[in-house]
Amino acid sequence: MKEAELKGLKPMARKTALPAVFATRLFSVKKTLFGLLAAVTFSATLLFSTSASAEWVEWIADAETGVRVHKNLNRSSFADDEREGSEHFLGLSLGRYNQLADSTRLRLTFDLDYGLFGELEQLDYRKAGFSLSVRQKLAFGRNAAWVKPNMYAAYLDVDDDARDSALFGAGVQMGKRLTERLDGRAGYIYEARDGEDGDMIPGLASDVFDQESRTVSIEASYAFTERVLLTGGYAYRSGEFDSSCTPTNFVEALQRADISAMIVDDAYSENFCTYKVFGAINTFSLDASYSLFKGHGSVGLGYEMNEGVADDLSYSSSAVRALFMYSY
Amino acid sequence: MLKKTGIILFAAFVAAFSSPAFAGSIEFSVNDGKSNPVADAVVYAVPRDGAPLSAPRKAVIDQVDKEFVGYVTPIEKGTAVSFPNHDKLRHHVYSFSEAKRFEIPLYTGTPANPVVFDKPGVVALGCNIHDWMSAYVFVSDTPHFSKASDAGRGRIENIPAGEYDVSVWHPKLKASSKPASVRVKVTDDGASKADLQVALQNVWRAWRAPVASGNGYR
Repeated sequence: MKEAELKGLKPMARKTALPAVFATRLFSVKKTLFGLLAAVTFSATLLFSTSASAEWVEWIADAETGVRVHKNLNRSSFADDEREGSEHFLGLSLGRYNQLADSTRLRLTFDLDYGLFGELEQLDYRKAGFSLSVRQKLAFGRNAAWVKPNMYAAYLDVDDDARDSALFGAGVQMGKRLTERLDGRAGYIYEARDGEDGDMIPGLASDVFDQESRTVSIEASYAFTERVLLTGGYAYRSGEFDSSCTPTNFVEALQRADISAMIVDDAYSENFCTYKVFGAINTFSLDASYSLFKGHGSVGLGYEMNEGVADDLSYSSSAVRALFMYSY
Repeated sequence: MLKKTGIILFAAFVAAFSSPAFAGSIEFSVNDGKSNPVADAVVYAVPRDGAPLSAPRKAVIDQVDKEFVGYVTPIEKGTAVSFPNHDKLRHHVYSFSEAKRFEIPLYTGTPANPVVFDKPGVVALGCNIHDWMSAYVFVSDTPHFSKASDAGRGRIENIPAGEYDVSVWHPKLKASSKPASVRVKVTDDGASKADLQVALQNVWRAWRAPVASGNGYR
């Protein structure tokens, strides 16, 4: 496809899409519904059942709100195409703990998230889902190592319909209080995103937001003072991700990476090409939290830097966040 | 004769069930050497000529809002301590300390049997469910002790006249520092004074507050 043609890209109307595409979308919807139904059924079963040895012991009511300022929000490999944006977010989690055994506790929550992107209003989102984890302490006491298998299922509704997605994740985290002040954790998670198809371009797949990835992470928290906690983390993510550029740079992107799907995307206020590639993302993060309300709340400041590589394409992005959290 | 016997019996009753007829007190203050008061410091007085323990006592260490009520609880050896749980959830109180190893597995309400602390020493308490919960029991070998207020001050009452070694303990007492101790002469007619200075270090409990990463504790 020539550059001149790309600049004048017009998305195909969805009603003209091929039957095969309809079939794929129908399959995606089924997967989404199945996933959510399974999560709801599983959660309800756990929530309303008790056994002789297990008991629902504690309610969970957590809230967080704050702002994230993103640099290169669209993960572009081309400096001129990078877009910035700030996001105000609100998250709520309601749920319960079940004490399965002395050192085994299950956590089940219903989670709601809401995000507003200001000028980039097409990225405004609402997310609803469930998360489930089981923490098993491997010994007794506060310094015991623990392991925590976890999973989540959620539906993401974005103003830009192409980004609407069912989200699934399953993984395991483990951790230990290493010293009185230092706490370490490591984790692995498999994540899948089952998105809608975007505006199609003839000859290219449009399932940009159908993505799978695997992430390994390590993290350490250090009590700087009795009320200040510093947390540093590193994560390596291998899998599919989406990246954007203006049509001017798309040919170069096509030459430098194996692009498996592409759509015309107007979520960044102008026509972008948003494409899916397979690669690796290295994420470094640093957070500082200040404890409030006798440990029920905290205010935090965090920084995250991402370095992504897919074939000969690479990008850097970052985000700064300030947040307030409250836990009942 | 009956009247005389009655007077003797009355005197014996008063002597048995009231404070010593001749008893003084020790007023103390504890600071960290930088003029900062040290709250929760336990100050105890050991008579130089030895003294019997008083009758067994009872004490309570409550749990409210997923915390122990009272960071430090001084008790006398032999005291039976109950651990009522006033949260609407389960706690699992334990101690690994040599002075008293015990465990009260997952429970709500008040456990039927209190825990008797029968050895002197320091007992660190924890909850196996809420790792940040932390408190200390100071088990004293002497009945003469008291805990410093937020202003770092306190008073040991009803202490018989005599010479005492007055010492201080605090969970944050620096391990390498020499235990603070002063000799105090208690008289029957007033309060003796003891000013104690301690070197402290931080003691870190598991983090409680929510953090962006989840911190794994929940």
